[in-house]
Amino acid sequence: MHPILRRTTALATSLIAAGLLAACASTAPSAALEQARTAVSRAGTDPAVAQYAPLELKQASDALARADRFWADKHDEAETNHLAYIAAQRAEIANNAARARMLDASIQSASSEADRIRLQARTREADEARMRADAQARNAQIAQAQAMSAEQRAAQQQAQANAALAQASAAQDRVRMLEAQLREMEAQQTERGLLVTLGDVLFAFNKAELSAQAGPRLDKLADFLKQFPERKLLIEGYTDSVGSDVYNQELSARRAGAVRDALVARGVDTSRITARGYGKVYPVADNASPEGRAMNRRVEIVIADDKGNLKGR
Amino acid sequence: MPSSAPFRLAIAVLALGALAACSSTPPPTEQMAVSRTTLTRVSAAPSVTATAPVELQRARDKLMAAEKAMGAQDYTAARRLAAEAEVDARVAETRADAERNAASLAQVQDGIRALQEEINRRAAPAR
Repeated sequence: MHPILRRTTALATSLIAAGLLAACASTAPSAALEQARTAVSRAGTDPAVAQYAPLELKQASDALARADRFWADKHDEAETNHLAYIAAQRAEIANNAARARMLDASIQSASSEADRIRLQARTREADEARMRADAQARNAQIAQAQAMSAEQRAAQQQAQANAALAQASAAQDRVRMLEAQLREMEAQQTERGLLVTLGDVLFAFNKAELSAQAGPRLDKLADFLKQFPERKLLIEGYTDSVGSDVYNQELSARRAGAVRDALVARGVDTSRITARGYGKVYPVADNASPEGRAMNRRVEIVIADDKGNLKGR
Repeated sequence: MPSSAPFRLAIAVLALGALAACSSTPPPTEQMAVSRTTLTRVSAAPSVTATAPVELQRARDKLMAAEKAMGAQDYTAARRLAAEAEVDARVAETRADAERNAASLAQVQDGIRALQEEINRRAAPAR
């Protein structure tokens, strides 16, 4: 055989072999394999997949490696396509599983968030209810205090009314008592004031000394005057027309002074008393008869009325 | 061409050997069992039939084809179809899981929103 022909034959055989290989290679499942590679590497770069579906991701990578290896070793298109499909689907499984688990984690945290909010709301409601209850209690206390003070005021007013009533009745009692005393003292209401007359019989004849008979009347008078310490009084002595003017004047003044002394001795303040003698002037009866002269010999005690009016001669 | 004859023979022998290797594939009993179990489980989930019916049908079709290939003693096809049916079913299953969880999350978040609105509405007149 010619060396060139031999060489050509060898070359042809090599070309045929290469062609056979090329035929296999030309139908190489690069599309499916590359698709699977893209899917697996996309899943691999997703941090969620790495975190939530590492096992599924590894199964996808393993499947891809098996496809690669099978293609490199065996050049079997059908098996390689099959393995690439498995790898791509496993990548999808990893994606789905990661998404499902991530969502599950979100559900857990959302649920606990919901629980937290619910608890917060309930706590706030409880707080508000407590605050409302407190406010109501406070209001109730205030109302009670107001009611109590109203009650106290009412009681106070009642007490005041009672006191006023008591005062009124005391005043009435006093008026009654006063009237009784005035009656006992034989006092007369005159335009000059309250007039009490001590008659001649209460004095020794022609003397200024009070007789023992005068004691009870003077006691009553002093009691009465002590009840009205604000009232001033006049003590006026008078005589009948018998005797000289000087004598009568002096006797009437002494008699008035004796009554004043007797009243002071019975506790009546001396500063309230004005004592004077008028002699025979201002007779109350006719001096012609003995009865008239007896009536003219007298000491008149004029007591200021409740308005303080007191008129001297 | 005395030198090219043994070469061709060698290639022929290699090719025959490769074919022989292919035809001596054992039946993929284990893969068939795994795929059947997976499909039974996935088909039973109502969420899968609802959210990924296409993927589920594809998986069923492939398993059916695998069963047919098993009957025809085409074990290579049976193994491939069964394995693909398994991953298809798993894709359908995991997608349904994800969809279900997304719906649940939306529900919980709606609940939170409603709760928040309720709180705000209650809080508003009180203040």
